[in-house]
Amino acid sequence: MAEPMSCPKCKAPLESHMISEGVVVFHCPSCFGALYETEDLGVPLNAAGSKPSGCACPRCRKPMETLTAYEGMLEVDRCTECAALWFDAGELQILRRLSGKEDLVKKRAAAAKPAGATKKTTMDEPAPVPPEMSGMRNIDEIRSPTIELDGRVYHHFQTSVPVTTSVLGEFPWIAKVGDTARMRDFISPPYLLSHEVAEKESTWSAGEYLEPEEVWTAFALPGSPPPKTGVSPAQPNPWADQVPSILVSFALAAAACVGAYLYFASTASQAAVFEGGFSVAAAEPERSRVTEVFEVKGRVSNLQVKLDTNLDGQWASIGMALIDADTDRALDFGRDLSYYHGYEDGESWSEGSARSTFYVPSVHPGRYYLRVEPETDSPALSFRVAVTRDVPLTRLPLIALALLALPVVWAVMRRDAFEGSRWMESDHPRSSAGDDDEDDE
Amino acid sequence: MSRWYRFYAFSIAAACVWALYTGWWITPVERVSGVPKSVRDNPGSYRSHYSGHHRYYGGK
Repeated sequence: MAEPMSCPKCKAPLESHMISEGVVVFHCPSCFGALYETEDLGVPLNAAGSKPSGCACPRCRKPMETLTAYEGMLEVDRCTECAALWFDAGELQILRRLSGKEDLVKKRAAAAKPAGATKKTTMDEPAPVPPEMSGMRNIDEIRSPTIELDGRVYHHFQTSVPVTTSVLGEFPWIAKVGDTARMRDFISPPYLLSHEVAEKESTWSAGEYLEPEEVWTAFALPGSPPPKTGVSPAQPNPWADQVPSILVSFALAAAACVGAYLYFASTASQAAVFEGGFSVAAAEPERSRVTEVFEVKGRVSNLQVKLDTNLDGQWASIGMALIDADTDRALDFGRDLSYYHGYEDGESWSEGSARSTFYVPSVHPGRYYLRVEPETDSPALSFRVAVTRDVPLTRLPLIALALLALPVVWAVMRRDAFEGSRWMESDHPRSSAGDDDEDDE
Repeated sequence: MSRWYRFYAFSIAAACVWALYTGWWITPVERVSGVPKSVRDNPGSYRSHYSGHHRYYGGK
């Protein structure tokens, strides 16, 4: 098994990255140096001299030499054996500026790359190669690197190469127009880490998002802060903390609804309390009928009423009253039915139904009889009525679950919309299709 | 929001359990009183509130 390559400067394990078709560089995640094959470099170094560098080549362990290029403005380490080039952080940017070429990498076929070069050398999740090192594109865009610090996981937000266009005020360093640096921002709201790499300097900064009111109060500013617009990279998502709590409440309430349904469904009596048939002729002046008295036992429960008619190309409106045989109280209800069918333009059609099932809610135990009064255009309507007590309704828990889910969906959408706004300006914009990594890759 | 939702979820669950226990459903039912005792002997002596309001002339 090949020994992992180490950085010639800081000894950190190197990571491999394919930066374009057939071109692999080895990158130090600690000091951000990078190892290139000489043949991969698409610009001349114009080296004028060399001296021993004191470093060993990460690949073949042979001594490296320091080349002086571009009239002493650039120094690059090169292996005396395999001619691999080592660029310290910022040196590629200098080479880009001196050579006048933005793209430093020579394109070549994948087959030409060194054997085993695509294999990741060490860590599972390598740090990205900064854009000025890749010479092709920002690898942070196609990866989503993370950093762990103080128990927090910071996600890469953006990599940029800002340029100093004007200088105003005093600085503890020499600030010049045209200075460039590579900025990488990582976020773990409300915290933010920024990494700035200049030619000879690497600086990490930690920040924390503060609400405008806190800043206003801290500086004792008059009035109130301006209203917030947009979403800051490290701004805490107000919905992120609420969604888990809402989901827990949803789960508990949904379990209660489903559990109650299962309990009542398993203990429901579903007892038939009445079944009978009726016939009504069109010529009859009085079409109302009453049934024998039947008893509804047990606790308060629903009554399922099933109507089965002989309608065929007719309609019927059946008014019903469940009358308490011992008091003067009644429950009035009814049902409209119609059933039509035919054959037209080569297709058969049907509309309505000759049967209907419905539920009379919350019927107290007692002795009852039914009064039915049909109206119909049928010359001879006959129908059967079947009444069953205490029938569990599956629709109840389903409606409850839907009502419970609506605010959850709303809260999740609000949370995701907030994150969408946050990441819109990043290197990993999120789409509604799903994860940003999947979108980008 | 989470506190409001906790209350809301508890209310929905309680309403669901109550509806399952009492057999409540949304069927429009009118509870009436004063039904004459003679209905069993003379069904026409009582007119349901539901009767006489519905006509359907559907069909293709």
